[in-house]
Amino acid sequence: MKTLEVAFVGNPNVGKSAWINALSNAQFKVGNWSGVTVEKKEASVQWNKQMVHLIDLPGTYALEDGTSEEAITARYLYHEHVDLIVNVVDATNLSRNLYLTLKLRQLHLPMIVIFNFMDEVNKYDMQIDIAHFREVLQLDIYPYSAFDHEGSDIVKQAILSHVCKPCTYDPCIPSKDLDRYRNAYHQLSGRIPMYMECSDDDIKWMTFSVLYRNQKMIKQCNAWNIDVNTLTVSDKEEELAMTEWCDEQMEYVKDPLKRLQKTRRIDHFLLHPIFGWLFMIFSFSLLMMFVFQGSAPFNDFIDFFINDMVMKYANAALSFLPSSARDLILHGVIAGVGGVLVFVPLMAFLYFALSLLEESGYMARIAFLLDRLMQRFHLNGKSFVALLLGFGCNVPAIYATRTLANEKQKKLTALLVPFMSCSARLPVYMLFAAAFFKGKAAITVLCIYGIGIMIALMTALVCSHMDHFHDDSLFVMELPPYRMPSIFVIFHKVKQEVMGYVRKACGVVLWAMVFLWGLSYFPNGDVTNGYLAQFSKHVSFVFEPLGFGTRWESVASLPGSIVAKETVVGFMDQILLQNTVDEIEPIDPVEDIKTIAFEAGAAGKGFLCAWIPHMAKEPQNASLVSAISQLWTDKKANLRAFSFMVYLLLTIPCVMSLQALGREYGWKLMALSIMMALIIPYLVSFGIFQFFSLLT
Amino acid sequence: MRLDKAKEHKPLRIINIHLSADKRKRLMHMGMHVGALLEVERQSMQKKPGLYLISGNWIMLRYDDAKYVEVEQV
Repeated sequence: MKTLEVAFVGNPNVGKSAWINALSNAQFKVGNWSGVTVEKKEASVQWNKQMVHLIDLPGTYALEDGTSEEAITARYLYHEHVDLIVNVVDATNLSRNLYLTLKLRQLHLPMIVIFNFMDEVNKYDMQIDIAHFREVLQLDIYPYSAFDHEGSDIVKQAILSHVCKPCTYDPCIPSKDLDRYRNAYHQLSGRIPMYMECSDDDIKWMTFSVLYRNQKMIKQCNAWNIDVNTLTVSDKEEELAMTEWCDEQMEYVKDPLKRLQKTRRIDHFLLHPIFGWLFMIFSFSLLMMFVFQGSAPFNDFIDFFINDMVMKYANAALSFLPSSARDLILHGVIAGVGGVLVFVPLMAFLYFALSLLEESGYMARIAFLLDRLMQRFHLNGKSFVALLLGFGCNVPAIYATRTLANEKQKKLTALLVPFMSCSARLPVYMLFAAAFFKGKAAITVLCIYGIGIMIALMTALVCSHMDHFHDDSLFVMELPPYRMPSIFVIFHKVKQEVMGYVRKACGVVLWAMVFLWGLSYFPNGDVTNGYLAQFSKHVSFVFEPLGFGTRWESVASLPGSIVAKETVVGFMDQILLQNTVDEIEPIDPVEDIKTIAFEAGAAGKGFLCAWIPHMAKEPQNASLVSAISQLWTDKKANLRAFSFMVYLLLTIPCVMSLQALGREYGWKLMALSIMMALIIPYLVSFGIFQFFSLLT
Repeated sequence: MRLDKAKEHKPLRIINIHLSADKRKRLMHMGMHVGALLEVERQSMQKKPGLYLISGNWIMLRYDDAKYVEVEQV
């Protein structure tokens, strides 16, 4: 049976992904700012034994090659087979959304329209004359909200019943031009050659094109010896006429601005030149505190569970294996991957905070506030949003640069994303900060983040003077109204990201850990004399001027970081804690369950205490922190650790980020990124270590 | 009158946009076109971007671009 292709199209931030999630139980990312979907996504469902592909196309304002996501949507609709278009429209903002609806009608494909956010329309007592819009658009309109799920069955049925249905739409003409249109229609219909066998619909659309001076149509008329000058054509172009028509329709919507009152009141404070900035700084500080201190007790619990419980039971269960195989599983797999999994709560807290910013609509306000500052570095507010996402993960942040309007801006922003300290690097900082900067771990990590931002801005300043990145394009951005974040959506987002982190830990990180274990273990089973140790000892002199080269372990952890930054933690776990689990401890399941329950309770209590400054605890993996603190014990130990963290911050991004860069902007930009990541971290770490060495 | 000089919360109409065709089209897709009604929600100060209410939507435009939009008071 043929699979039906159903394309969801609409302006940015109208809830296309949310509707697909509601119809298919897919878990596409959604958010309250434009550009969440930057590439075509697909969900497959079976309805009444009929396979249906629901295609989520990036948000677009028109069907042109403007930004790359607009181009993706336009190309898909023009060149791929589509059985039905589902036009998702923000019902609270019809005048702007209907322009795309008019453009979509010109494709003459079967189409239905969903007026989304009807819950807000009802909440703010706005009244929309749906019957009028059904009549003028000649389309079936379904006024339901995706989050209420009330209309999903009706929309499902509508999709199935409208697929491949023949469709005819008349052009929508602004009232001012109606007389001209009628005259032109009568004149044209009498002059088109009979052999063309044009239908009435064809003539209507030809008249529309001639009326608004479509050059192709005018040429065609000339070819038929029709003198277009004798027709009463309008002085405006098609797009402007369509926009005017949309504006005219607003008389069928009562109180369209009511929904903005609350946002206006909030923005009065949040966009204030002084209070707005203060609030932004305050909210960032709160976010950091929430992420670091809130997650710490849970990180400790997982650390205890993996290192005390899993390790103990695995050690006992694997006692029959030869020592090399046991070592591989205990030190290679469990210690390595476990070291990464310890930070799952940290990731969950980070993504929860970022989702909250996205969902509420505050992310766009941050872009607004920071635009002037970013402009000084030849970037814009939207670049900041992409860079901010880089704190979560560099890969989606690189893809998010697609939402920028200009190619040069996109490339420049993508080049800067790897300087944003992604969440994968966070566990490394937390461990080193806990080991060397006791009591000041959060400030130390903030400094590292600050250095990343500073280097990114300086790089932007330098690059913007190059022709390749210089840009003077228009920057225009939409600020969505504030919306109460949906706990359901946030929970799904966090779950998705955390699962991605766990999958990465059990996939690429696991293999990297096994490979690194092999390099460390062979040829003689002694990690201090393994291949990796020997190689690192030979090259560590290169890193001695940077401070951390005095210990081969720090140098040896760097190659693995190219696979994934998390491997540094796993590697340190393998290398530094190698002798701690070989003795088989006595097992008492009842006692162990009691201990687990006690530790879980302690984690919950710790979370509640995290908000009281003197009771807050810094996240740590106690045994590993203690081992790391022994890496350097001289008076420059802190400086060496800091230099290592800075090096790791700026060094070559992980392969997935490089792949994203290469895929989006070509191998040249990827090569430039690698080159920068080889030179810049060396110079910065060298500068920091040497300068502060003089002071100590 | 240029948009960057217009007063806040006064209804305005765009009478001309002195920008290239590409930029004009981009603005039009956001609802900013000749004849459109708008209101300055937050004027650009010290070259900071301004915030404009157009067709029930807030659009941010930089000072450097707003000065090319000609408006009249309605």
